[in-house]
Order: sequence, then structure tokens, then C-alpha cells
Amino acid sequence: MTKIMIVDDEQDLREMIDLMMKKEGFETEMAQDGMEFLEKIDVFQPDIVTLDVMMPGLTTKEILQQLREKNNNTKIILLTVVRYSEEEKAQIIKMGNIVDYITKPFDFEELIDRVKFSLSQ
Amino acid sequence: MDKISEKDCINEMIETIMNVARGDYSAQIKLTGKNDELDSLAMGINMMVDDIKNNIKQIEKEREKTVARTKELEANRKQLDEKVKILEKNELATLNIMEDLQRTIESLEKAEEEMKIKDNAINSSINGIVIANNTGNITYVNPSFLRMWGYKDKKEVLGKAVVKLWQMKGEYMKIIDAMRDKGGWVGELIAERADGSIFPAQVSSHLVTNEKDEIVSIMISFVDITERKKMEEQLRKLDRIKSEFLNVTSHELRTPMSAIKGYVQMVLKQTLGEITEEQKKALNVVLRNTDRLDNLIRDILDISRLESGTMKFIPEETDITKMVNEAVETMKSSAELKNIKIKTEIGEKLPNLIIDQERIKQVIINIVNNAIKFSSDGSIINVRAKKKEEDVWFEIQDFGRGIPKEKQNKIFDTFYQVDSGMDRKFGGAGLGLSISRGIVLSHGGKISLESEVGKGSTFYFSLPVKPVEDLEDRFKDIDVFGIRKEKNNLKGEKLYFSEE
Repeated sequence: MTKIMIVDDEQDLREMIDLMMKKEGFETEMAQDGMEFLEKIDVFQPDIVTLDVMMPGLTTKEILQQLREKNNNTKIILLTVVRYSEEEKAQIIKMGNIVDYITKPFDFEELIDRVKFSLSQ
Repeated sequence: MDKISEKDCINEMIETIMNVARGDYSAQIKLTGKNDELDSLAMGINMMVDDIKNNIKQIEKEREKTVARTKELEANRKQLDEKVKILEKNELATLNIMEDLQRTIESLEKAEEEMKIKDNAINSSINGIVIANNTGNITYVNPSFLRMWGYKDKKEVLGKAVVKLWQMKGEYMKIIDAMRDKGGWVGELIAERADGSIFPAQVSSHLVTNEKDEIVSIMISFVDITERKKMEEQLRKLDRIKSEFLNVTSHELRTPMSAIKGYVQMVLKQTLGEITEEQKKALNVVLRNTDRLDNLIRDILDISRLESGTMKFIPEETDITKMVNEAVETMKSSAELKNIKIKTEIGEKLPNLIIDQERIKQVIINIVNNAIKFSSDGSIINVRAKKKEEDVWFEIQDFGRGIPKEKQNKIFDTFYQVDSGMDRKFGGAGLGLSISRGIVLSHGGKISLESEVGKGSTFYFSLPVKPVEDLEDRFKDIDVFGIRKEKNNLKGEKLYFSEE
């Protein structure tokens, strides 16, 4: 079964995405911040991660740095509230792991489509 | 004398007398030589003729004398006449000179008065004013200057180097260059008071030159901008707080919205079990209103970013035809609800533009959306794009209710609604056109409208073919909302990725 990890500090949103993914037949795991995510990722070993960019604690940049140090290249889809320029996208991609980003509030089907598409790449 | 006969003598006498009678006094009667009465008579006549001749000569001489005298007199009169004329002329000239003098005196008085006014102005000016000579030493200061710098008497500063009045740092060469090249410099400096304390000053200086273009003096005017700086700092702080607040608010509002939208969509798609038609209808209303709320949040955020100059633009090479069609496509379903046809007319050979196409699409959608709102069922909306000189012009024409003349210039104002009742019915907070204007101006374009009540409206906006050099940098120079603000360093998502 395909494994997805949902990282978001907002419990409702986290649980909603979790439910969506379970209904789509994914095996899921949740984390409420960067610290918890980095702890659980080695155990759960997800195929893909949805990661909120604005969470208390570790910044996205710090999270990505730590993943790089672990040599972990799990695919990550960012959840943001702004859109990025080509330059910024390139900058983000350069950090590794990031395969896509989706802007909040997103369509339920759009998120599922993006997750499935990223997994197929 | 030849001797002649007596008879001849008499005949000669008669002839001579006849000649004399005719005015010929030349002939002399020849004598008989007999020394008789006849001879005596002849001699008498001859003497008489001579006398007459002499008398006539005398008379002629006298006459010539008289003529000469007359000529002399006439000449004198002429001279006199000329002298009179010259005198008359001189008199006129004198009068003129006197008038000139009068005028000169008047203008001198006026100049003196003006000088007094100017002197008073300089003396009573709230600006600190300093005049320095061509070597940069102070020759004059006004009372405001003394007050601003905390000097008691002008003697304390007269003769000093003018540059000692402020902290020079790196500006020295810049000021010198500007003075030399442009004859003046305007800017801000840190002024140093008599006691060594400092204050920010707005400075305006210029060179005063004479007719030969030589520098005579330097005029410098100072304004203490301490209060202004404080206000600016406060404004910046408020602006920062506002932007941070809006950023956080936006994130905080959009996150719960994501949860609402996600769950509603899941229920609607019956992922969580079957629902009735009524439940479906109710949830569709929830979804529609969630979208509306989300649009409002997005608009408020856009306005705030346009106002503070922090709107993010992503310029990309854009195919106009494709972009217009995509924008129109998203409006199709809401147009169809009112049976409205959207027709597009795109000019041939339009150049690709370097623009933020999502933002320009947003402009087209905003305007078309308004057009749909205010058009009656079954109406037509025309969307055109064509190249005109160095710009691509977009036109969105509707045949709706139109906008009254007096409201046309307010239509781009934030939160402005032509008819609040009507607009509320149709939804919308009056932000769309304001945002559209901000986006178009940022791209170096223009936006306007033509409208007539009952006939419809046409909105025009242009985008330059030659792209603005840096959308964001350019934006800083355009005061879209009439309030000048400096770009903030937003705390937000951007910082997560910037290479600090």
C-alpha cells in the first residue's frame, strides 16, 4: 500500500487530508510540526509527504536541510498560501525533496490528483 | 574830335537825345569845333548824358547793395529759425530725460521695497537660510538658522566653513558634483548643532552666479525634519504591522477555509456516504459562499499588497490570444447562467508580452465579471485586444446599465460601489476594479472607461509592448493609491526560502 504522511499544525486540516487519503486507499501517518515529522519519517518511511510551509518550530528550510543531512529524498508536496515565481520554484526544487506545491484553499480532488501524479513521476 | 558841319551837329544832337530817351547813354555828340553856341549846346548835352549815366550807375550800385543786404538778412533769419528748432528739440529731450528719471526713481523705489520684502522673508522664514561666498565661508545666516543650530549670535558662525554645519560622511563628493553639474543639490543631511547634538535636515542648495557665469555665492536653505522622520517611522511601523496582520490573517482565514471546503467537497462527492438531493443543495450553497469569502480575503490581501508595494509579480512571456481565451473560458459558466455571449476579437500578429499573466487574467476576469453582473439576460459582451503603437490595448464592452458620469472617476477607488444596493445584491465589495488598476499601473499600462447610462460601458486598459524593467521595482515608483509607502520586509512565507 502507498504510504503518505501529512504534516500540518492545524489539527482539522491534518485530519481532513488524512481522511481524504485513507478514502483513496493510502496508508497514512500524521505529524503536527517539523520535529515530529523528522522523528516519524524514518519509522514510517512514506512514499510522499504533504508539508505545510507555515508551522511553529522548525522552518521549512530547516526541515529540508535536516532531510538532506539524513540523505532522505522522500517526495514532498508543499502546502502554501502564496504562489511562487519560476525563480523561487527553481530555488525550492534545488533544496531537494520538493516535487510540487499547492495553494490553500485547495480543491479536494486537485490535491488527490497532484499526489497521484507526483507518485507516478 | 572830328569837326563836322553845323547841320550834322544838330542832327547828331537829335539822335543822341533820342538814344538817351531810349536808355542808351553811350553816344557823345561830335563838336563843330567853332566854339559857338551849337558847340556849347552839344557839350552841355554830352555832360548831361554823362551825369545821367553816372546817376544811373549810382542807383544800380545802391540797388545791388540793398539786394545783398536782403540776402544777408534772410540768411540770418534761417539761422535763427534753425536755432529755434534746435531749442524746441532740446526742450523735448529735456522733458523726456526728466520722465526717464522719474521712472528710474520709481523702479528703484520698487526694487528697494522688494528687497525689503525679500529681506523680511529671509529673516522671518521658518527655514534656516545660509549664504556662503564662493570659497564656502558663511556670509549670512537668518534667525531661524541660529535657532535651529542653537547659536546665540550670528557672529559665532560668520566666516566659518559652511560644510562644518553638518556631518559630511560620504556625501561630500556627491554634493560637489551635483552643485557643479546642475547648479544645486537637494537632499537630506544630518545637521550638527552648536552643542554637538544632531538632527535630520532637508537641504536645498544652489549656486548664485553673475553675468559672466562666475560663482558669486551659495544659497542654502534647511528644514528640520525630525518630526517628519518620526512620523515616517511610525507610518512604516504601522504599515509593517498592517501587512503582518494581513498576512497572518490571510493564513489563519485560509486554513480553516481549506478544512471547510475539503470536508464539504468530500461529503458532496459522497466519499463519506450517500446524501439526499436536499443535503446536496444545502452543501452547494455552503461551498459557493466559502468561495465568495475566500475571494474577498484574496482581494483584501491584494489591495493591502498593492498599497504597501509588496504585491508579488511573476513576469513571464505570454501569448495574448491564449491568455484572453483562458480568462474568458473561466467566465463562461457564469455568463451562461444569464444566457450572455462573450465574443472575443483578438488582433492578428499580437506580440508576446512579458507580464504576470495570472494577474492580467485577474484584471480581465474582474472587468468581465462586472460586465456580466450588470448586463441583462441574453446580452453580449465583447472582449477585444489589439496593438496600437507601442501598446497592446484590451477592451471589454458591455451593453448593460452603464455608469453615471459623476461616478465614473470614482469607480477605481477602493471599496467604491456605483449603486450599493445593486452591488450588494450581486455580491462584491468594490475591490475588483481598484485591484485591476493597481495591477495595470504596475505593468506600466493605463486603465480607463467610457460609459453611458442605459447603453453600457467599455473598459480599456493597455500594456506596453516593451516590458517594464522590473515589475516590482517599477511599482515602487507608482503611487497607485495616492499614499507613498516604502516597501516592507514582510515576515512570511517568502523568508522561508530567501537566502539570507
